[in-house]
Order: sequence, then C-alpha cells, then structure tokens
Amino acid sequence: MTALRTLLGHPVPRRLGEAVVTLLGVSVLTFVVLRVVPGDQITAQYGIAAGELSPDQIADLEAYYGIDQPLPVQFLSWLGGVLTGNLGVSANSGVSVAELTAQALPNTIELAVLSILVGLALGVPGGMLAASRPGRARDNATQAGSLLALSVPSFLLATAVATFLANRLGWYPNGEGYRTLLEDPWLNLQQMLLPALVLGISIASPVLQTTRTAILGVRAEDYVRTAQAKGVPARRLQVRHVLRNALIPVVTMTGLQFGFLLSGALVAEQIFAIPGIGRQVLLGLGQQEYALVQSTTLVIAVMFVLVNLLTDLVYRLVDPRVRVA
Amino acid sequence: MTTSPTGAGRPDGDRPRTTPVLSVRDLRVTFTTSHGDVEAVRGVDLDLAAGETVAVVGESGSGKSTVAAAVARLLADNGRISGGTVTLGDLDLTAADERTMRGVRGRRLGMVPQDPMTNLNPVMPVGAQIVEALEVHGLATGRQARERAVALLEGAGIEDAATRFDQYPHEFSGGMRQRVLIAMALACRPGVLVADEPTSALDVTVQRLVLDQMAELASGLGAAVVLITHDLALAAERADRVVVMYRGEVVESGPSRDLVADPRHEYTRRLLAAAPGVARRKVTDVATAGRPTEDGAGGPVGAGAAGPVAPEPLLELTGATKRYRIRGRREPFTAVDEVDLTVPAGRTVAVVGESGSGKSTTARLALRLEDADAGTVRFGGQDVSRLRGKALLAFRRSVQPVFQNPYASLDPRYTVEEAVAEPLVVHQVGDAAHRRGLVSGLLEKVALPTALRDRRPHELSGGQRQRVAIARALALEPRLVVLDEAVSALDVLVQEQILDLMVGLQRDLGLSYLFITHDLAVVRLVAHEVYVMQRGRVVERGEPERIFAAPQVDYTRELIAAIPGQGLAAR
Repeated sequence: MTALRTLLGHPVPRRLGEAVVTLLGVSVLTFVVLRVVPGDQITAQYGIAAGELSPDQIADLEAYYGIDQPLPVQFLSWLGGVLTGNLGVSANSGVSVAELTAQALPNTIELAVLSILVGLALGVPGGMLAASRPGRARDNATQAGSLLALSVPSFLLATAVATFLANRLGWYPNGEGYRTLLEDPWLNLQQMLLPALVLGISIASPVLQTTRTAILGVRAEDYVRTAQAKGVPARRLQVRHVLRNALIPVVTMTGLQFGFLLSGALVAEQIFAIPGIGRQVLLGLGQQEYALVQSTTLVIAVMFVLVNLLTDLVYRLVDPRVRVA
Repeated sequence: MTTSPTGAGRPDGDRPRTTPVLSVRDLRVTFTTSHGDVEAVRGVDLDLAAGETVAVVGESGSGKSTVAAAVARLLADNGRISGGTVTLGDLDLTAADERTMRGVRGRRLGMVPQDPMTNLNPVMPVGAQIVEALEVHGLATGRQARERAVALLEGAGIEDAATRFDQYPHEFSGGMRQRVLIAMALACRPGVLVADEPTSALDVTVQRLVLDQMAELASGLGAAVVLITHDLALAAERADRVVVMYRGEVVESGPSRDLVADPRHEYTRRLLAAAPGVARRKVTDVATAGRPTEDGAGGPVGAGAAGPVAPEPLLELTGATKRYRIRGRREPFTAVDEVDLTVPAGRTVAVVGESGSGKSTTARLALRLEDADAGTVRFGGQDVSRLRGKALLAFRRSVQPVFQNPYASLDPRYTVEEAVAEPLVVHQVGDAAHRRGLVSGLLEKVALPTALRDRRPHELSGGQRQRVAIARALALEPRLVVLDEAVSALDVLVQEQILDLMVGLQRDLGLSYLFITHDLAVVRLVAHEVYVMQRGRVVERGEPERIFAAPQVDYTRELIAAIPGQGLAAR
C-alpha cells in the first residue's frame, strides 16, 4: 500500500483536476471549431439539394438535429449527455457513438501498442548501436537511415509497401474485411503487421535519436567512471548504469508518441482499412456529424490524458528522484 | 637511504622503509588535443607504504588528478600513459591488459571521487551500488553481501544503515553520499585507496568528519591512502608524507612536518604563504583603522578623521526575512530569519556560513534580486523595495555582484571587452569610443593585459575570468560590490591575488564589500566585520580578530576548529 502511495505520490489529486480542465477545454474548442466551419449537418446530408429545402423543412430538420437551440444550450445539453453516459448518436447510421467507439477504440489501441513495440525494438538497439562508436561509420549510417525513415511520409511508405506486397507477392491481408483480434487472431495480426511496421518505423527514428543522445550523455557522467573504478565489467556497466539511466528520456518520448498514436493514426488506418478511432473522426467530419465528432474528440482527449498519467507512472518507476512527494 | 629520484626530496623520510604497496616511477601522461600533444604529467615518482597516507598537493592543472586516473588506467579517451611504470604489489599496471585491470579496480585499488553529487548512480539504491562492488569481484552475494555492505555503511558513519541501504542517492546529503562512496571504494578491502579531492565539495565541518571517518575506516581495513588535494594545510594535517606537484612535475616531497616547517622549493613556500589558514591579514583592523598606519593603507575612506567613529551605513538590513514555499510542504522554509546587518561605507563585511545557512539569500536581498517578506533593506537610507524606474536603475548602478563561478556567470559568446562594456551599454554611458577607453581603464584596474580584450571566457584562466567579472562589476563605479563566494573556486595563489586586488580597489576607490563565503579562514584576511549565519539566523557578529580569539557560540567554534591546518597557523 505504502509503496503504491509513494509511487503515485502527492500530485495525483492535482493531476486529476488538471485533467478535468483539459478535457473541458478540448470540448469547448471542438464545439466552437465545428460551428465555425461553414455548413452544418443539413448541408452535409443533402448537399446542393439543401438549397431547395423550404424554410419550414429546414426548421424541422434543425429541430430534429437539435441545432435550432442557442449554442450554449446545445453545448450544455451535449455535456449533460456525456456526464450521464450518453455520447450521442451518429445521425447517419443511427448507431450510438458509444457503440461505434467501443468497436473502433480496441483496434486503435492494438495498433498503437504494436507500433510502439516496433518503434522501441528498432529505435533502442539502433540508438545503442549508433552510440557505441560516435562519429564513426556505424553511427553515421544508423543516423542517416533514421533520418530517411523520418523524412519519408508514412502515407507514401504505407502505400508503397501495400502496393508492392499486393502486386508482386499477392499478399494483401487487408483486402479482406477487417477482423478483430478476438474474431480471428491470426488474420488480425497479419492485417496489423504492415500498418504497425509503417508507423513503428516513423516512431523508431525519434526513439533512436533520443536513445543515442541519452547514452552519450550518460556515458560521460561521473558515476559511470566511478562504476568502472570499482571493477564493473563492460556489459554490466552498459546495462545497469548507462542504459538504465539513458532510458529515462526515452520513456518520456515514447509516452508522447503513444498519445499521438491513440488519437488515431489517421493515414495508416485509412490506407490499410482499419476501422479505428481516426477513421471514425474522419467519417464524422465528412458528414458534419456534430455529436460523433464532438464525442470522439472527447474520447481521444481522455486517452491522451490517461497515457500521460501512465507515462508519469512509468517515469516514476524508472526515475526514483521524481518519486518524492 | 638513497636520495630520492626527484632530487627535491630529503635524504630520509620521503621513502617508506618497507616495500611500497604502490610505486609510481617516472610516470608520464600525454593528452592528444587539437593543438597537438600535451604532456600533463612529466616524470612523477610516488611511493606508498602499507598503512601509510601520502598526500599529493597541487593547484588545478598541476596534474594531480591525472596521476590518480593514470594509476587506475581510467584516463579520458584522448589521454595515454606515455612513459614510466605504476607497480601495485608485484603487478605492473601500465602493462596489464583490460581484463586484469578490471580485477584490480575496486578489488586491490579503491577510488574515492571528488564530487559526491555526481558520482553515485541516481537510479540505483546506494546499498546495491556497494553490493555491486562485492559481486563483480566474486566476494559475496545475496544476504551475505547485503550484511557486509550495511556494516561498511555503518563504518563510514551512516546511521541506521540497514534502512538507508535501500534508499536512493537523492535521499542523502552531500556528506552522506561521500560516506557511501568511501564505503564503496573500501568494500573489497583494497590495499590502496586513492581519494581525489574527496571533500572539496563539502562544508568545512562535514569535511572534517568525513576525512576522520575515511582515515579510520581505511586504517581499520588496512588500506594505504593517496590523498589528492589542492589544500596544503589539509594535506599536512592528514598525511604522513606530502608530495607537491606543479605543472605536471613533483617539485618537492617529504614528511609533512618537515615540509611545512622548512619548505625547500619556492613554489611550496608560496603555497604555504597563500594558504588562508596561515596567511597574513590583508586589511587593517577596524579598531585601528582610525589611527594612521605605516603607509595609511588600511584607513578606509572617511575613516582618516579622528577616533573610531563608524562611517555612515551604506547598506542596512533590519529584521530582514525571506521565506520560500517548498512543494509538498505546508510550512514555508525560512531562508533568512530576521537578519540585522550593516555594511558601512568603505568597509568589508563578511557573511560566513555553510550551505543552507541563508548567506546567499542575504546576498540576493542586498542586490534586490529578491524582496524581503518582512523587515527592510535600505541602501543609502532608501528602502530598496520601494525603488522604481530611475531610482531603481540608479540603485542597480550602485550595487554590483560578483559570483562564484566566473565561467558560468560570463556569457561564453562575449569577448572580455563586450562583457565589461555591457553594463555601460545597458546604462547608456558614453558612446562606443568613450566606452572603449573606459574598458581599457577597467582592465588596467584589475591588472588584466589589454591584449586579452578580444578573448572569450574559455580562453582565459580561472583567475583571469574572475578579474573580468570584477572589472564588469566596477564598470558603473558602484559603491557596494556583493561578492558571493567570489574566490571560493580559485586556487590559493590566484585567490591571494584576487584578494589583494579587492583590498587595493577598496583603498583606491572607497568601495564597500559584502563578502559572502563559507570559508572562515579567508574572512580573517579581508573583513572588517564578520557575521556568522546558521539556519537563516545571524548567530554571532564581530571583528574577525575577536571572533577567532574568543568565539561566543558553539557553531562558530566548530567552524574555526574545522579550518584545516590549525597547527600550521599556530606554528
């Protein structure tokens, strides 16, 4: 119990307060932006034909969508719904946003976790390799590779990889309908492989740079030399003293990337046809579905806040200095 | 006994009678730099007998730490041993392979590093770091290793060691961390312990305790000690023999007592004369300041008139209090607690205390970098917290700071000229040509060659940098200069020069100094009046002579007792 309390430390209540303020801010901002964009659900629904609707019809439709109310009332009614567990309904499909999210979110989380794993698996050893002989060929090659990976836009890489595999090898698992991990684990993993790889490669690059810089910094620390002076062999020195300390900034970096991934890897989800949270927002935006966009954005913001808390927790695990209240 | 190979040694006593446990012969260390090869250590000889303590003394750049690093074969990547031998027992370390060296380091040769704040792995509990030494040398594992580590921590002076075993370095004070490092270095009972400035980063009272405990633990475990230090007084007090290094060479060595009583080499003599614990007072006492002295040098401005009339107060702190809020604590921390302090015009007032005593916060109040939470700070009769606009600007001109680390307080991209001229530019003094002339005058005042005006801080020595900082402080012709540990980071000889400069400038310009330091010995040399601070309060004040002769409170007594080389001063 006490261990957990030290780990969570003093700032938790304050962090929760901050989180509430953040979420409220995000909601207001999304609400405002959605209303500022020209057009509304009616024009999105009927397109040019919307111009032919009679004032009465428009009034009826506005009443149906609930956009005839004053803006603050619209916002508060949405907020009230959210607080009572009602995220609203997607007007087009008639499915509740909660239900849509429940389907999309696991896919996004799975993709994010896999991408982060790929990113760490490539980035951390890459950074160690680059840092092992700074300024030498190995370092330069690794860094050039990572820069290239960072420079290539993921939509290009994704399209290229998908096209190549489908055309040349005839392997395109994403061509069939998407299967969740629970429905068909084997196919699901095949479907996730490419997007995770593409996203992972773009994450690997900053992870690699951070790892390299951190290792070089730590290696110059006095305590590394002191450990050497007590006879610690090279491998143990590298793992227990250098890497252990160098991972601290890497954790922060990874947490940030993880947060972005959870807000939906729009491009990758779109190209590889993965029904994730990013696609859900995209869909809502196209149709100007206020409730869908508004609520999904809130879900994304919640994920972001949670990931930040999680990062903090991991940070406390790897760095005892921040554990003190 | 044969004559020492250094030639500067004495016929007997400078070589141990038994076979040395560590023997350094004609050691040479070369560093490859962008300016070519630099030989940092040139033919050093050193012998260490079992159970003996030998001190290696020298200024920064003398090569003393390089010797330590070379012995452990832990030189920086661009350094190499270019000649000579290092023999530990029967093993030539200069010829040993890396694998052998790994077995030697920590096992037969313990190292205590300089800065306790940076030498422990921050993410590893301290106990585990000691256990690691036992583990890598296969001496103990598991419960047994833990028990030994706890015993070592206790031996090094850490109370409640069994609990503290699992704590992390940041939960320990500097002195405690150094004790951990000492326990770590001695964990495998090495025959030789090399301690490189083990206590330079610590408060004086802590320094004394830690050195006592290190000596006790080392002798208990049978380790001979090489103590590397910049402090000759400390060396003479702690070591059986002293080796004095200068510019990579040993200039003199011998038994501590003889070397101090009768230094043969000119450099040793200068070091001894400059040691603050021994050196002569630089300013005349306040009591005698009214009377004309031999050359009138001591008489501060305005004090030439009759009698010991105190000059007008320039800076006055009355009941000054400063509190800081600390995260996670309800009660604010009182850094400065109802301090009354007066700096008379033309005088030097010193504030002495250890870290956390509130002395630097006092300096910040005087500079109005902070406002007092209670009480007043007056300068020339005006409450400085009320100053706004032009009046504040005028105050800023009149009060100038000089900080401890001139390397950190000078902008690395500014040349000497730009740094010194900056306050003139800020306060719009004259045009560029006029300012150029002023800068030349200022450089002359602080005895810096004009040729240095285009250099940048990294191209200057520590002493030169501090002169630049003083020149910059003088640029606006201030009335008060606040010196926050301004000479603490300097080598003794340089420190002596800067103190002389300060005293000279005070005489010529009638400056007042608020001199903040942890070093009571330096205070004795330059201050007219001393305030001793402890935990935010002034616990004692008075003339330095009186404070040294008859300290009123225990804390002052402790501070005085902790000054190394008491015996030397009494001699």
